[in-house]
Amino acid sequence: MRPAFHIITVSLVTGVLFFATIAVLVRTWLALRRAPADHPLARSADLGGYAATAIGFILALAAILTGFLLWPLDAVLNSALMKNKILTAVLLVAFWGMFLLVRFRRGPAMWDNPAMAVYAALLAVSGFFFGMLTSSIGGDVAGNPSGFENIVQAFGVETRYTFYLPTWLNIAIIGAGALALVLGVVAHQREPGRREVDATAADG
Amino acid sequence: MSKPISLAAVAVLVVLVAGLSLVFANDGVVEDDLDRNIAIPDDLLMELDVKVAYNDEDIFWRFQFETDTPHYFHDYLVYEDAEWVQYGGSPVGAEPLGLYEDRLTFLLDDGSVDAFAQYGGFITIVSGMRFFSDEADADEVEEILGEDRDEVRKFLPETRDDPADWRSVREEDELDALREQGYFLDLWHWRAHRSNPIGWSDDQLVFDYRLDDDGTAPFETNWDDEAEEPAFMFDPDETGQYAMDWDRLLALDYDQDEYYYLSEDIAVPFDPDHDWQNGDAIPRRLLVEPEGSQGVIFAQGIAQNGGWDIELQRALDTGYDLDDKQLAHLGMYDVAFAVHRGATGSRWHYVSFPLTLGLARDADIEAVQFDGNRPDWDALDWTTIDLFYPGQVGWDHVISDDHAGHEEVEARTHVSEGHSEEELAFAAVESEFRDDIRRQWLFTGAAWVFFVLATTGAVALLTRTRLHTAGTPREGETT
Repeated sequence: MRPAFHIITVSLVTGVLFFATIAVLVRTWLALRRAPADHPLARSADLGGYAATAIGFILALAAILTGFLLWPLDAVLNSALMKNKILTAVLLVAFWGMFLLVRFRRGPAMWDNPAMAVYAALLAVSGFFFGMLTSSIGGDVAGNPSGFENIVQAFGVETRYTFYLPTWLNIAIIGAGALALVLGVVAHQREPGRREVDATAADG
Repeated sequence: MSKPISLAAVAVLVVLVAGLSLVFANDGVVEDDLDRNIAIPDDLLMELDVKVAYNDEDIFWRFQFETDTPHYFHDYLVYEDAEWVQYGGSPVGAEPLGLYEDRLTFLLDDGSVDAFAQYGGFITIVSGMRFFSDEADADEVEEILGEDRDEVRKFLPETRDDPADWRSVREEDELDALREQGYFLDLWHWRAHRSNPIGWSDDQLVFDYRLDDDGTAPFETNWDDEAEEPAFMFDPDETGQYAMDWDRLLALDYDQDEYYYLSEDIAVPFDPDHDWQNGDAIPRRLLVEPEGSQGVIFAQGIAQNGGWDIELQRALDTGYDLDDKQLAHLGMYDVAFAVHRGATGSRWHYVSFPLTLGLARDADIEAVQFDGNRPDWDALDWTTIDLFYPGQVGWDHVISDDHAGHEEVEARTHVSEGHSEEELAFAAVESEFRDDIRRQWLFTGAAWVFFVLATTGAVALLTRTRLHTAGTPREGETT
């Protein structure tokens, strides 16, 4: 496969997800301002962000596929830059995938809760950040570093090494994730009135 | 715990995970492992300054490089309770007592060796080499390469049927023909202890092995196997000492004006009847004037100003065509440098990319023609060269599918077009922990993805608007 095809796909991902990020931020801003759900801009931002995320998500998967077709897997796994690119691309997909899932499950009502709206913005910004990082590393691989990696290096991460964390921290992160889930489940289970609703729902 | 408090706790977890990930990035894998021959130097990069000039007869090189402590000491024999014990040698990483000489070497070619101009010393290295983590078994090496060759050392790709396999040595007659065609690299080898004190540089070459030039070396081993004692000691009439003082040696306290080395003009046969005391130390090397092709490079290296200032001089044409690359006015050559410093030997060195050397021609390093016996160094500009730690990256990896740039290598694209010295230094360190890093990278990716999924699930649960009993409207809930 020619590198140009991968570059074109990545460019589309960047553009579409940039639009999605802006839309999500606008919708979050409106949510925090308690704008009504049927506000024209709120509806446009929600639908536009949702659609752009769905398209960008599919394109991101396509970009990952075209990226893997460029070099043999062994070569990819022997390159620090390429491994970092894979990691950031996977995180990009994870963040946007989560946004899509929440939007799909909750519908436009996801914006009714300010905390959820802020979290959606966090997912979008994180997804966009990792998209930028992925593209920047791609430029570095092609011999044209963008300089974006300098920002990451300023936070103490040496981008020319494969990014990894010590075992104890990986375990702690998994534990933190599990703890977050437990907090969510427990708080949700203990919510007043839930049992009655569930019972009603079961009867119905 | 209420939902707002739980949400706050999840937010704290997110901040903690992000913060700790930044603080502990790339922690926990890269560390010295002497059992695997791994010792990562503190500095991955260094600079070497060079000037070159020539007259009708000779070429002159001038080098400067910095080092925390110049090491012009090497191995010593120390008297301990009626026995002579050897200290110093080539360990993994730095010699702990500081008893290993600094060295400056460079490979020189006239265009006869394919790929050297693009990849320099990398073409001389493969897996299984001396002090690599997968160092080949000594018995196997000796069985294949012959007596006195119990380690895999530098060799050129075309001396093997398979350039990636040190075992596949070509037939003797083919090797002879290759060498006669100039297929070898001249290896100038300046040693701070084992030749510099008597004004010489060692002279070697790389062909099917790292070989001495014809003739005699500038040093011998000062040891009597039968008597198990040194063969020579200091001439007390010439030097005022029978031996050196071990405590001063441990403090690296001898300066270059003192007798920290033993050479034939200041040595006498060892006297076992002398009243030797614990702590008497005698150099394990006897420096002798080299002869033949091995004795063609004059050297003067002075430790000063926090580093070395070294000058080398050799005839443009030595007359030894099977050992040396001959140089000529307006000639263009390829050269790659290496420096050992910090009491390190073997593969713990810093190397350069291959560079061009032009004699009165535009090149990476331009040798300036002059009249007279000595160049006016002050009138010449330094060329500064970046050197980097090369790790365990070998030619077998560079030309394999495992290397993303192997097609560029096949096309003989210069290494500098795909990498910087700094990038290769980082890649070198990673090469020593390839499998461990890959495993940890996968683990990190999995942990993070799980955290993103779990956190999203938690937030989704915590932000679900409370459901009311039947009959009351729901607030923005669809699930």
